[in-house]
Amino acid sequence: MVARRIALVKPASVADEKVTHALQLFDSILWAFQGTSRTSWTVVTPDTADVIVVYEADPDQRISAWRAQGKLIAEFAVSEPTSAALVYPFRAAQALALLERLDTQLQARGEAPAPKAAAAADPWSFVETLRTIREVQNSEAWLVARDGRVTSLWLRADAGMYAAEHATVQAIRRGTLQLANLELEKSSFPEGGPTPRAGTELSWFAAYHASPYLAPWLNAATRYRVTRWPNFGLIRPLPSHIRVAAALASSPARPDEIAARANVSPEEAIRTLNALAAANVVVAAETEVVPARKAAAPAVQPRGGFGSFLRNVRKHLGMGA
Amino acid sequence: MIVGNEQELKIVFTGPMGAGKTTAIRSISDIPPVSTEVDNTDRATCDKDSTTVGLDYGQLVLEDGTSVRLYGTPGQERFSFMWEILSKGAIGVILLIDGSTPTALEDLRSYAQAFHRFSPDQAFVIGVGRSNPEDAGLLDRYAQALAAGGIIAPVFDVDVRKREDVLLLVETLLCILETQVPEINNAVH
Repeated sequence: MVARRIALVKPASVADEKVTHALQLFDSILWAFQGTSRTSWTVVTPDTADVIVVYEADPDQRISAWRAQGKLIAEFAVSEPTSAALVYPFRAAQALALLERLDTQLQARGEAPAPKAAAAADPWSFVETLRTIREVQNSEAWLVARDGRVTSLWLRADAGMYAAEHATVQAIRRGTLQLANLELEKSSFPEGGPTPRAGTELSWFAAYHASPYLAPWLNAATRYRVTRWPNFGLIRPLPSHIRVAAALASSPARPDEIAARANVSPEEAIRTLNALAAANVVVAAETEVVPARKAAAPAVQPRGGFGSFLRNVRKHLGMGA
Repeated sequence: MIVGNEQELKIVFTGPMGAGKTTAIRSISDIPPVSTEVDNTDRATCDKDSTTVGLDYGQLVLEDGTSVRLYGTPGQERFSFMWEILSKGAIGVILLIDGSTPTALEDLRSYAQAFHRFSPDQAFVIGVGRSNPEDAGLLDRYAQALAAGGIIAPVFDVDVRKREDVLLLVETLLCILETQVPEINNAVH
């Protein structure tokens, strides 16, 4: 396999969210399709890169200097018309085709490939991969995820199903399996392998445990709401997860508003929002047209008030509050 | 006991015949459920020995003496007039659907729409039993079908023979009340 070095440059002076999303998408495609083509791309800083991916309207003067040094510059755009090589939102196949062309250009120049270097593990890389391959929607193929030479799990190429041994499933649910360390390769699902499980479970726990901070594709200033509930029968949620989903099902909220509304800690609110987003059940409120609806209070006021009543019901049934 | 009294704290379990309402109530009730079951003569609709023709009744008595009544609606369509009576003023409604029947989606739509019509703002949770584990998208399709009709409700895979699954449905009802009803939210905080 040929190793190449690539840099993705985020413009310092461009505030458009699409630019950030485009770079994240490109980065996750690089990660997701590692090992599936003859060239292995490692993300590095621009100084050591063979290829530098830049936003077409980035005024950064270093770009001209890099070009003058003979580095290949691949431009992307976020709207038409453009002469850029990629226009966001782009498909994985388009990004892969661009990489293929860049590799061919480097070969034609006779440039020696770089020694293969290990990329730093980004806590969101696996989740980003799941989001990317869900977009590709290839339900025919399977991928295998390995940590070194150890197979951890099989993943259907649309992220709709996954399969792993019981102990691995439990590790994913507990967050003790370092998913960001896994490398994916094309594979086939082994005969007699573990029973496939719904991919929502993997997406949920991968995102929930990835980081205590907001997922890179979410925005602290945006108000989000749940469009449909995730299958909690599968996920087996904590009550705090249910409260966050219920809070966002009734009306939109910014990430910093969720904790108070759901009566959970700020970290729990963020982690659960990340998981809901990875399960593809939240949207930015501005794009949602279904009117929010809140539940009505029961007709009867319990003695001692509702707060005491709910505590007593939970205590009586042995449920965690 | 005054059946369907609005002035009582109650949770209503509904759904078609054979969906597991009696089983669900039995799994959490303090008392053996009072069921008005008779031999099932409608084997074409549901192949089980007995079915509820009136209603099921169970009860939780909390430590402060508060009683929460658990009602199971009769499954047959001809008793649908009782659904509204029973659900009026309830804490919430738990709809149970048998995911293995060919009419599951239609049942889901018709029950959800009926209860939504009676009380559009009532806390409402759906449990789907016996769904095909290989059909990972089934629950999503159910939730999307409801959303298309303007109903955003939790739809979960459950096995009502397991107490923890019934508790998940009850917990979800409580969380909906807690986070969505201002007077309850204020009381909890």
